[in-house]
Amino acid sequence: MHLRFLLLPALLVAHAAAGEIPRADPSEVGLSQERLDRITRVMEARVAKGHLAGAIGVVARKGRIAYWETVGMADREAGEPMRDDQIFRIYSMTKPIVGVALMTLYEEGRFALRDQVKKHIPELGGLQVLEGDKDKLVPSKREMTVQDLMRHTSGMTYGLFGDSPVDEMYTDANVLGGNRSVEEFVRKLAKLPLKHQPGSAWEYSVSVDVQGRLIEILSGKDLATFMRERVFEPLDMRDTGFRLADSQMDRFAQVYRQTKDKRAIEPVPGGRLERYVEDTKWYSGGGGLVSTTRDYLRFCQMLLNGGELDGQRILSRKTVELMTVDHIADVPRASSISRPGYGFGLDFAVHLDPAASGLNGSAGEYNWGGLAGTIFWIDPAEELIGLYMIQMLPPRFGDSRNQFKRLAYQAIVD
Amino acid sequence: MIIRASLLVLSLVATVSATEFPRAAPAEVGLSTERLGRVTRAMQADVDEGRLAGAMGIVARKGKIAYWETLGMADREAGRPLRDDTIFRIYSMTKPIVGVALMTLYEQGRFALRDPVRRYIPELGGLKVQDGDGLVPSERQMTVQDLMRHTAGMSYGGGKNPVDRRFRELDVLGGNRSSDDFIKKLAQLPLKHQPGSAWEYSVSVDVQGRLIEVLSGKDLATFLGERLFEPLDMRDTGFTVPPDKKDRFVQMYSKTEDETGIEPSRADRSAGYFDYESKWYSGGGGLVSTARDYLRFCQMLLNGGALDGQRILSRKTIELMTRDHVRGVRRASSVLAPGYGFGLDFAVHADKARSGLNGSVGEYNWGGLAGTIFWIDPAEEMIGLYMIQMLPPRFGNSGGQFKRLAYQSIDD
Repeated sequence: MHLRFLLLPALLVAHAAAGEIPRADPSEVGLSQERLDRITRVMEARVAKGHLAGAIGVVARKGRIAYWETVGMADREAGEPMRDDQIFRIYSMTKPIVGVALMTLYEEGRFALRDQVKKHIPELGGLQVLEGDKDKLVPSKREMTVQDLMRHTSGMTYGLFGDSPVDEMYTDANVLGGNRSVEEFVRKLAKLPLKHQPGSAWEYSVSVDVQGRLIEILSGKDLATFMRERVFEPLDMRDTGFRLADSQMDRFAQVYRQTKDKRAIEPVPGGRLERYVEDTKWYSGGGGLVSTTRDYLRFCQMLLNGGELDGQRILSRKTVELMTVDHIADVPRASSISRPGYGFGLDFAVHLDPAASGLNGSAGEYNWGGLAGTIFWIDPAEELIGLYMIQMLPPRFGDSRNQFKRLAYQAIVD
Repeated sequence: MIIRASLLVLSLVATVSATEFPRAAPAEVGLSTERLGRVTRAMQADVDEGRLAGAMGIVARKGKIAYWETLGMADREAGRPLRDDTIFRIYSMTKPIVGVALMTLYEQGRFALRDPVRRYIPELGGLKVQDGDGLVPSERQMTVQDLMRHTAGMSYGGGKNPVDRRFRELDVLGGNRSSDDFIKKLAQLPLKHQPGSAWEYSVSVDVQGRLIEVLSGKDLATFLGERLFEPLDMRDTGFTVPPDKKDRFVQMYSKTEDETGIEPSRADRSAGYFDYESKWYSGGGGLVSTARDYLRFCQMLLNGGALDGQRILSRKTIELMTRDHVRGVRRASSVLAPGYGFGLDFAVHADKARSGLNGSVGEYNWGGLAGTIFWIDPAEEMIGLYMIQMLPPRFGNSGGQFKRLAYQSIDD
């Protein structure tokens, strides 16, 4: 009798943890199968033309998957078709996961958004600023805050996307390269000046890598361990991590690029594999993760649910709300990565004005994407999640990501 | 028994596909019969006092027609009364139809709103911009969105600016036999404004017509027929009036020179509606239609993109089309009334205090040169349609009066 009672809760827990996001017929969730088929045709045409090796497109609504198409090849040259459980380099789609992980510490009272970063990472205090084409370093007018890190107003940059003196210094210092720890990364970064006064400009930057370090300092754990314990395990994101296990290698997608004559695609030599197999402590919070469509969808559904999935609460709805309002309303944009009609929350872009973006979506939708062409978005107003997975480094053929998004929206018929 | 069941199903299907809008007593849909009587009296006075030959007014709410009055004459001189199925020149009420048709291609992933127009119409790629007496390069390419919200930098040729003068010399909209003729003339004109810098009502919807032809590989008339008129059963809408419908085509009127009455219009250019050979289909103003047909188009929009099981657009795309896309953009043309913004081929009511209209924010609309107007009010689930046939100058603004009176009849 006792034994039976003990077993029953155990079974229930196991069941809940293994629950997959259910499927739905499109018409059950206000989507049109006929209109969703347009997405498939467009994806298949891109594969047939040789502009993409393969792609996965997913549209979920009201908590159920209404569309999941997996087309083409994961490794064209090896003749391996794309699989539903393909593992992708998600690059900057790492950022929202790190942001969510960091905010679990916010919810434990470990920091405030307006805390100065130097309070937790002393090396990043007292940085000087080298603005625009000026040749003189000036002191920071104020210290960067954790909020600045999360909304990309810290004054830092990426080096990759600009040609200012500071961008060149980032590139020369190879700030994100090399085989070292997150701590060492911050030490290297602390020697570089800021490109903007903190809070004065939105510029996409390495600040999410700094968030990774912040997590390590606040939690006393390395970033990989913390992410696993706080996010991947509770959400059963079983194929998401900074390193690939040997058993996962055969599911890792090839990454492609345009050929020099811009007519076709070719595998990127080496497939940028090293960072995912080397045994280092370099966990890039800005772009280091690999993941699967299933795993990332679980992350998105947790957010759309207001912070929990299958009984596992990661964040409060109030914190998700805070992360997905615009935090940069009056801040000038210093980076072309910012798109018209979008603001920025905490590690998410936020759709503010469909007229300015030209997208048939909703205000309040939030999203991000990765360097290899993956995107996701979460639309609370429509209870909709979109996920598009490809492995193409830029430049790509056309804008298949936004086309996917427009086509997903036009499938709404309720 | 089986046969009876099958017949029943068949007859139900037939009813659905040929369904007409149901009528409702005004009280059923929150309107006052007594107050709607004011609409009729105002229209009747315009006819009785010789300011209009005839007029038709319709108010639909919650998917039902609560008011439909057809008054006066279609052709006063011939003694032909205005009928419910009279065919009107709808001029610029063509524009929203073309916009919807173009957006069906957006929904197939064929273009993005921020795409440069020259990607599809290369002739419009290198246009210069008039700046005083000289020309300067465009600061950016016009986009499809610019075409649809009238910020392309083009005009309609009505002003004193050198661009407008040249527009008239070239007769940009006249004498064309195809959209190719039109684009060739248009490409010779500089822009009047830098793309995106000003709202000016323009021929950009004719350019949208060309864009549809380029993207679809079909002529505009065929495409509109297949995408809209057939699925929505808009059976009397088209660029020409077929010979067998000629007796339903309304006479055009204008004010007499002494401004005491009206007379059959001398400015009317109706020959084009009977030219069955031309392939020039003006996306900006070429259609004829009936109140019934246009009401079906409006109801499709109010329904979020579908009518009688025929889906034309997604609700999300209609939401996009009916938002204000010109917030903060300078108005270089008085065609857009105060309190209104502009979406994609629709004006959008943004501020009641500024418009002075007892309507709703979010209501969207447009009108035609000959005085026809329509509006769609999602908040009130209301459609208004007012059909007359008077080239300006007209007597007063009877369309605006119709709209105010329609709104005051709301009783819930």
